[in-house]
Amino acid sequence: MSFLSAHVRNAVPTVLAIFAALVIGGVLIVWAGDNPLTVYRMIISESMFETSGWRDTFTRSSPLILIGLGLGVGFRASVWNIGAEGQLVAGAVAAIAVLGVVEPPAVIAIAMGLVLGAIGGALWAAIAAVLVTRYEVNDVIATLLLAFTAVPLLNWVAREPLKDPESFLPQTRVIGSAELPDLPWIETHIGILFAVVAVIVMAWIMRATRFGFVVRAHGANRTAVYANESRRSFVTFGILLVGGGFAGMAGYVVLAGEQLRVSGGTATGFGFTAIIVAILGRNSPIGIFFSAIGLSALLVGAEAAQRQTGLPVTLMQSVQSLIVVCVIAGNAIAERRGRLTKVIVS
Amino acid sequence: MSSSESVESETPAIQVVGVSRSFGEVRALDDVHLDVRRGEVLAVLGENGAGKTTLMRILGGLDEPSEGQMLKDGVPYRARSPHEAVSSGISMVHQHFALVPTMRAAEIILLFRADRERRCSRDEAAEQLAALADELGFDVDLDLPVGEQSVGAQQRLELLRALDSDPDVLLLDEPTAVLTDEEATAMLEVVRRLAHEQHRAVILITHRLREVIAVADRVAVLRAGRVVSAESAVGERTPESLAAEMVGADVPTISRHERSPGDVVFSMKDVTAAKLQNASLDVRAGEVVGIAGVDGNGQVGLELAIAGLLSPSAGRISLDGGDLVDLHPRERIEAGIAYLPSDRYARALVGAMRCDENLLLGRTPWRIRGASTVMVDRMTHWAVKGSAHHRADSLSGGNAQKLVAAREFSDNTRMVLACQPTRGLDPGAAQRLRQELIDFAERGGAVMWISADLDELLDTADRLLVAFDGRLIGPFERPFDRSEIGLAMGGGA
Repeated sequence: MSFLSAHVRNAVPTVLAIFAALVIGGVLIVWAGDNPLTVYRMIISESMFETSGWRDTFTRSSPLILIGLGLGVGFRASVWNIGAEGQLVAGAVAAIAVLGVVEPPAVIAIAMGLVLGAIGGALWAAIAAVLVTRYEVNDVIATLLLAFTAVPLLNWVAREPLKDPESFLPQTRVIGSAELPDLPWIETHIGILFAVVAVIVMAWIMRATRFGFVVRAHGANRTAVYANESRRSFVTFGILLVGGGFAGMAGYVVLAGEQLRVSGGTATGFGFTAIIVAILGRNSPIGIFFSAIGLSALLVGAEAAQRQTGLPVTLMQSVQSLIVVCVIAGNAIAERRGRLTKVIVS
Repeated sequence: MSSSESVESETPAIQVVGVSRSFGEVRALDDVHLDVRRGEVLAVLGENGAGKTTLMRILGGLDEPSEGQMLKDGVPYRARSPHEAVSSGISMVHQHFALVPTMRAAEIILLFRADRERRCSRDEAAEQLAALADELGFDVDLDLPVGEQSVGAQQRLELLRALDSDPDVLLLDEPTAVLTDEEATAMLEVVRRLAHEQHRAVILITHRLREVIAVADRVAVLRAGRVVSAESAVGERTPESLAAEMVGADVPTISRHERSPGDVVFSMKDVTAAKLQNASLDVRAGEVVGIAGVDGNGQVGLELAIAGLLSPSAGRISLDGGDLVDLHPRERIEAGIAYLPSDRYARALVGAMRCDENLLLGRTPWRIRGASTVMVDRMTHWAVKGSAHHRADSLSGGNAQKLVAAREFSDNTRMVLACQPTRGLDPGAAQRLRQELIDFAERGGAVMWISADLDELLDTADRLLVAFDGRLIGPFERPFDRSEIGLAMGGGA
């Protein structure tokens, strides 16, 4: 069980940091004229114990988990893909381009949607991958700028080539039979199930396979990987494709679970929020699962709190940012103290 | 500073009285007593990790003692920064001239001047520096940015930089580590004059016995943070006794038999990579081929090209007749190349991963769980001191190298590419590794051994080439002519 206790030990700084952020957030809430305990209690009950609340929480966390898994692999390997938003858009467009036209039976349609989304996202990421590995463009810049390229492209796609001829709005046809059904007992669409399965599979891959080994080694010392395990650009390229694939799959889930059509509104910022999810989850699949649920619940609850008390939701977005800052600072401090105990002698 | 020969009976320039320094549990220095007088060179000899550098850092104001005190000219001395040390008259020469490579020497001198009164224009500083260089007979180019100068020139500039404040006490941390034999001799002669003629106190840190004998007046040996021999006059000591004191036991001698090499195993033809130009050489079965030379003469290009980290811009490299260029790293390993890189922490180990995971690097099966147990046995065989479950960066230099060797040597190894294999190892561990490499050759393996330590190669190699300015000069055959090889290393062949 040493494996489990190590996980618990790693989580301690994160938990402390989140607590600290909630305390600072509480001060802000007091300043805004509310009782922080009431607000936090309301956020928890609204996001977890109301049907509409958990449904929103799960619906919102599914794409975050999927994208976060892909980004987490990249961050673990020190490959900084922060353009998941564009890859998500590309995945959604790829899915609707095919599934807006054909209408196979639901099971096949959903499988096609996942695959098409993954291919679309991976292709978009491949552009960045070529720029990074072939032309030595910085990975942060290549992926981010391509995200900003994808959004206007999305607007054009919804207006011109894929526009629904029967609609006056700039939007595509509906996804049809590839729409995600609800899971009966939690009344939430099946995307959360995909996310859970993906978490389990990725956790196993990262721990027990050569792929996970190379990713971890690449993050800690890429030169040693190039000398022993893999060609120079291969790992970076592969990791960007994996990240794009997951983001594209999330694009299909967002499309088929909620929006049903692709429009300018398909890019809602999941790709950027997922960066925070991956960082808070310390790039581990299990951690990403919990951080996605937690962040979604916080915002879902905050929206309910705004409806009921008028406390602005932007305040809770500030708390979200505080959590990120505190967790990053907390991890840095924990790492530093760890290092100080084994100073190199002489 | 007048030259006076009355060295004795003065108050020592520096007295170290019972100084200890602890890092957590580890005592890097343990009750150290030393003194050095004006006009003498005190050599502090010790293996890696003995505490030499910690002592220097404390004297130079980069660290502070946990216990004990220091006296400068009989007065208690404590420096909290290098500037404070310099204003007390203590100046330190570092191993590398690690400063703003785009700046000229005079600019760097000004950067180091602590007191405002000595601020002056760049031209004035350049003049002062030129005068200082003249006095020492140093040939330096003050107009060229330091990054564009040779390492030897940089080391001379570093000494000038330290002398700029006209210190009473000069601390030298392995000042000849990057120099050719010839340059080192000249440097040591200057060091001797700084003490004997200019009447300064000099503390010389080194692990090279030859230097101690050549230049020091007295020697103190540090082992595991303690002074194991009271300072003694160098004239009374032999290299063997000093080496034994350094290690705490006699260093075993290398056993090596004359062999007749077999077929060509490894071959490179007209290879150009980075600084390396048109290099050709063969390594035959059962043969140790040494590549001597001062760092920075093309060895890195040679190493990286064979290791596959750099594609040669021209030429052919082959193992057992099969092309090595552009092989996948794992195909290279399967072909039978074992690689001990010059920078093992960068190229052979992932410090943040466990030792047993490091043993799998380059050899991972599709599913890694359970795979490492086979390799862990090799850790025992190579007597790696450390747990398989600890991070690789928790190992000492010698054990880290043993971990790499444990992974790299296998039954199908055809050639070992050993690059500075004993650098950073203590004498005992270094000698054991040398023996392993020779034993491998005696079992019929091929060894290419790149080293900046000429003595090491003279002991171990069957044939020698010298890397100079990107070219490979030689081969030199046994029996080796040390002065001829030394001359080639300086570019005089």
